[in-house]
Amino acid sequence: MNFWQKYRVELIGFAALALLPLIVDPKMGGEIRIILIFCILALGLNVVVGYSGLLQLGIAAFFAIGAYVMGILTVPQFPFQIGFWPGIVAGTIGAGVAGVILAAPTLRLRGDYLAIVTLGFGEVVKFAIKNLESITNGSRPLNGLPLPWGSGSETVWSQSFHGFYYLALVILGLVVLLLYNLENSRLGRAWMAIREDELAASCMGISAPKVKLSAFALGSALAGLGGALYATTLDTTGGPDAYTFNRSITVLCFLIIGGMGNIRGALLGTLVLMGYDNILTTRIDQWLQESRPDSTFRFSDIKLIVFGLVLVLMMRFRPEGLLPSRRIQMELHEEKA
Amino acid sequence: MALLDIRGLTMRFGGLTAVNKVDIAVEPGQIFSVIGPNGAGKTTVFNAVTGVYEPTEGSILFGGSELRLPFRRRVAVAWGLIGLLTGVALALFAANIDGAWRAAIVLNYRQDPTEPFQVGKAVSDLFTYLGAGVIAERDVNRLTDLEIRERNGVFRIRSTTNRAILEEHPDSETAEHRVEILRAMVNLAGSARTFVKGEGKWLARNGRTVTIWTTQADAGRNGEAEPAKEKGYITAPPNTVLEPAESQEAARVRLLDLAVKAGKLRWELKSRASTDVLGTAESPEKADEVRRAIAEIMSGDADVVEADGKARLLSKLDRRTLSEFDTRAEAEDRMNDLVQVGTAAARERVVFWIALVMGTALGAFGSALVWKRARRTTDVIARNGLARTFQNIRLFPDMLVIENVLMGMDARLSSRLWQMALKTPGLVREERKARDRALELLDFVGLRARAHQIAKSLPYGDQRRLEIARALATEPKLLLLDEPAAGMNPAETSDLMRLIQKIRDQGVTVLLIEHHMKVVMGISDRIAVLDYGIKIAEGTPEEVRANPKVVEAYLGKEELG
Repeated sequence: MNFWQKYRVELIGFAALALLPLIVDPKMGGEIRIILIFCILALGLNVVVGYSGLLQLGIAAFFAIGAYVMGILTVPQFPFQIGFWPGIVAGTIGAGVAGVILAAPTLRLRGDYLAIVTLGFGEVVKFAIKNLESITNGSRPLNGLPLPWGSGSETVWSQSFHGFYYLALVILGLVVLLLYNLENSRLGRAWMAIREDELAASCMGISAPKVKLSAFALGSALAGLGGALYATTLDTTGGPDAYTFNRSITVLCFLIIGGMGNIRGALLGTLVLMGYDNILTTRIDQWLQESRPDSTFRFSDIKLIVFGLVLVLMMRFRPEGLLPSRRIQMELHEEKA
Repeated sequence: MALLDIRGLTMRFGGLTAVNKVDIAVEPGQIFSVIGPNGAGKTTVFNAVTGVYEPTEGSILFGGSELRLPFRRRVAVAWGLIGLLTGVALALFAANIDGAWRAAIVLNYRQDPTEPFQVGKAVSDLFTYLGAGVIAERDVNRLTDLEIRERNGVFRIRSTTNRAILEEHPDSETAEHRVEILRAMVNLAGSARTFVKGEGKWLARNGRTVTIWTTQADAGRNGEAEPAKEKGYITAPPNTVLEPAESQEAARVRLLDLAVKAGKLRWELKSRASTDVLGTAESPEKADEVRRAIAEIMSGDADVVEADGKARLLSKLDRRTLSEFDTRAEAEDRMNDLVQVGTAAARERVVFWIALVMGTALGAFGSALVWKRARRTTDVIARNGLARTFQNIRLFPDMLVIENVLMGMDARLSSRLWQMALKTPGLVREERKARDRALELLDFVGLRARAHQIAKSLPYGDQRRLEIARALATEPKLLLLDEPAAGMNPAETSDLMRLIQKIRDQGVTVLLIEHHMKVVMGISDRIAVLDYGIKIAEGTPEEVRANPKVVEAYLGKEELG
């Protein structure tokens, strides 16, 4: 199987997304730009939950850490002002290190217990941000993040969505490439083996703590990368209330809808759910208002009901998600044969 | 020398003794079987050998070593680092992270951007804060205004707060115009800033709002026609230039100078231990002086001396005047207050150091303890050449057959993280080699045709053989097979016997748990019999078969009577 055959879906999707700004209006382009960033976050969570089977309910905390490390190191309010690229690297590494610090003592926990710890960590980070008034501005956001490239190019960044759109797209592409490489490598196999049977894996000479730690570190780092990019794109870290438990669960829903442990699934889940939430809902509302101006009904009022219903139906009829991983597909295929 | 030497192995779980003082010695090249009725403790022995459980008593030597995680220098370094991390975290909690940040960063930069940020000063201020020392905090909230006073035909602009004269003008018109500008500039010293050129942007920092002028030309449109690159401007909202300066630095100095002169700015001296203002100063240099004086009084190094109708606080060290008062009582009050703050500060200092030292010690000790307890882990043992299969098959069910074998090889592969991330040619080569070897192994156990199926879709017997292939992939010296023939039909069983013999012929020693007597008696070189956790017999198959104790364990004792 050559490269094109193997990754044609990804390549076509990438090309389509690259051409998309030519036809969409700026508002929608801006929304898609955010969705692309959330794709990075979902891929990060996918490493932890999908590949390694560690239930992580506090991914928003690492998103926040990425955004705030980026913010603190670059905004004019503080003396560091290290600029965009060093900032984004620092945000990524900072979140990764936070992941290691959280994971190292909790590696012995499994399933529900780890979920509780990560959930708690998410809240701790949120409240820490809220209370560290001098460092994070408390409940107010940090503003004024720098742009990736300097003089003369500001118009590209601020007047249209194109700059950050393509930046996010390229970074997402690199992340996908990285994850495909890892998935098909020794480390990717070890993640899955740990998920399948930890004792058997460790009896094969695999150091379970190291493997789990690497998954946690990478997942958190990717979340941090997403957070740093998110903060730069919006020019604000958004305050601690942008990183609630709700956000963690939403990202987990992207994976559940899309298909756990599968890069395509994670991407599709994010596109579908965020597209529904941010683009489709507003479009339907607009359309409703135009067609029946006197009606007070808004689709956005019931969007969560529809979402919940879809989730329940999903769990009933297609629990493995829209695009289950290669292995689960094969398995179904096997049973039919 | 025996390859595996189990001596006096005892396993207790709570009050239950599963294995009691068992000695087993497996010579290289043997097929050694451990048999016994259900519940005899065979699998427990396996678990102890492979590190799933820590032996309660006795020793397990493999090739003469206990297979514990070796102690290296970097292990101790890791303990130290973890300890330090814990200690610093605890100490920061004790010191209040937010306050420390404020002392080191905010006070040095955000509150006072008229001064360039100095890392050295930030660090020294941080330590002053951590030591609960006195810190100078800039206060810009003082009300001040400028007025014009005419004297001998000269119009003087002076501050209403401290009556300092800022400028002199010959006519009232110029003076009035200037007073407006100066008023704005004095106020600016509290909130708005000079021009800063950074990131290729021209930023007018103006309190909460930051105006970004995209180009120099834009900046020029709002201010002067063509600003030179490094030129500074003092501006007021909405970005009108009040006064040009040669450079940013000059603009900064000018603003600070004005604000200090007009009495808008002052430095309040505070200690972490007290939120009260301990003293004030009009300039940074003065603040430093006052700070040292207060610190000296706080630590009790001052005497009250009365002279010329004034009471003075003198330094005990160099008899310098630290502070002056009208009466002795005032001076004493002041001294007592400061000494009290000093005591509180000393207390906080002690708490900080206790947190740091105890945290470091606890963290290092704790991680050492955890490491010591987890020295004998399954993965270390497996990497040293001891592979096993499981009684209830434990494959990676959702992975491919070949991937299961590749997992067994994992510890023998050497690719590093960056190689995997970048998919370097070296990695691709290694992967290809590994796949070839995996296929060879699958061929060896007769599963090559099923290499790309999902492991759990295999029939039972094939799953057992896959488990053996996976264990062989770790390149073991000793292979532990836990009831490999369980659930196999006679044809599969004889295949298995041949397979085990083939494995032995390749130089892998086999330790076997099996109930199937045909297998055990057919291929074993030596057999040990366990019953209720005690080894009741050991010998060649013939010896064991003839041993009355073994017969008794399996069939029961013949009742005579």
